[in-house]
Amino acid sequence: MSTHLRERQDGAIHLFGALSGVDEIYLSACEKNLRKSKRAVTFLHKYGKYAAAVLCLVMLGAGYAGMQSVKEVTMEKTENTTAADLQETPNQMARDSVEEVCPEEAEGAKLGKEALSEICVTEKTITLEEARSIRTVGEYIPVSLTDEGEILSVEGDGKTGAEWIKIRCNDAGTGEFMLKISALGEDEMLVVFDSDSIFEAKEFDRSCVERVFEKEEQENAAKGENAEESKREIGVLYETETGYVLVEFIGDGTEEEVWALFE
Amino acid sequence: MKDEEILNLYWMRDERAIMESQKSFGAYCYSIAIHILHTREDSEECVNDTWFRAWTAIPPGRPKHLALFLGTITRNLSFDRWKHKNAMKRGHGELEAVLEELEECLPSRNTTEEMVEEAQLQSCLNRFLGTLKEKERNIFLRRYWYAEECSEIAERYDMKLNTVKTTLFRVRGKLRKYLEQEGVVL
Repeated sequence: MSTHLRERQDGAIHLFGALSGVDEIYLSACEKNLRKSKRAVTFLHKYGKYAAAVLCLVMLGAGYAGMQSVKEVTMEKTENTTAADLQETPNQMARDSVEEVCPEEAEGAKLGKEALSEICVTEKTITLEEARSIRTVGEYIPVSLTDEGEILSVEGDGKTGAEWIKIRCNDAGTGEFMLKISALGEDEMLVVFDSDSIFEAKEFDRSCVERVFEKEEQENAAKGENAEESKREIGVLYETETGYVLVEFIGDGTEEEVWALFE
Repeated sequence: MKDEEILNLYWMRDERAIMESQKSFGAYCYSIAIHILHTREDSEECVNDTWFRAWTAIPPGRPKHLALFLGTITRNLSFDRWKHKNAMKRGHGELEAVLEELEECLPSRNTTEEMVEEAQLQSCLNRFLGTLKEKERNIFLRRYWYAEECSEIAERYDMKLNTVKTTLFRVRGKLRKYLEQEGVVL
């Protein structure tokens, strides 16, 4: 073994030894976190989907029951209403009717709607300008995209408008591609970072795009498919002050087009 | 038996302290030793030595976290044993004996200067660990404190093996930069 290698190994040994002096708080947290995360992960993995599904069904059921009673009350009221009253919008009438007949139920319906909006993420069409103004994720929309381009739609998170943006575009040819820009936490980042087609921003360059295209072509060739017809997927991960932002390209496009978006 | 009760046994110089330590923390300490030494006999010896080290340290010591206190002793003993074995492998035949004999001539390694340097490095490492996110820190400690394999860590935290490796790679890079910034030379 060379002297240099021996020195490096001695340095590593020294470092390993020095780690014995790690603060007990960190070691203790390491043990606690283990138990907590195992339980949490197990629970979420086992029951998370079912819990979400049941919750959604309950909310839908509550909504349906609410609508039924609203319908009944509305029909009664409609029978007694004048021609002028009919000009009122059905939604307004329904709301008024419920509040008149059953204020508690109206309050419940409002609460249910709020809860539902918190649980279910709704897509909302927004303008590119609005999308750009969204804090954090909006800043990562490529400057090359403009309203004058081939943008088909821009969608954002209906609730907060700050979690993700999807932009669907026509590429220069006849195909379509989507740019998805998402804000991620540490756990989500670790999961997505495991993918071969996702790169850290500081290490991302043209060669990364080339590698993804080459790999995909090889895979398609092995499968006997036409590489030109398959969807490309490539993502760049940016570290922000509060977490991470992932910009993903999914769809048709040439190597040059993809690189131009990220460049 | 609770930690506090075991500690009281040590303080009362009751030999049941060793038996109870073995019952409560034997598996934990053995797990630390086996990850470093990879041999059952050596690991068991280190665990047994741990109780005797604890016996001489308590009293006057009264550790807040008995498991971590004992675990740290096991880690140090196992690492010392590993270093000794590893150093012996560097020599061959007679040279091994010569080195062993020469070891007796070496002055104590724990000179004041070395101890200060060691304390500074430990303090630096603790500051660095404080800059990491909790998950990164836990993965780092599982690997470099407990010497667990990446696959074990992945299973423990329900993560992909590559994710664990990627995280460790990133943290090692951060540590190198941090140590350079702090002017630490190893």
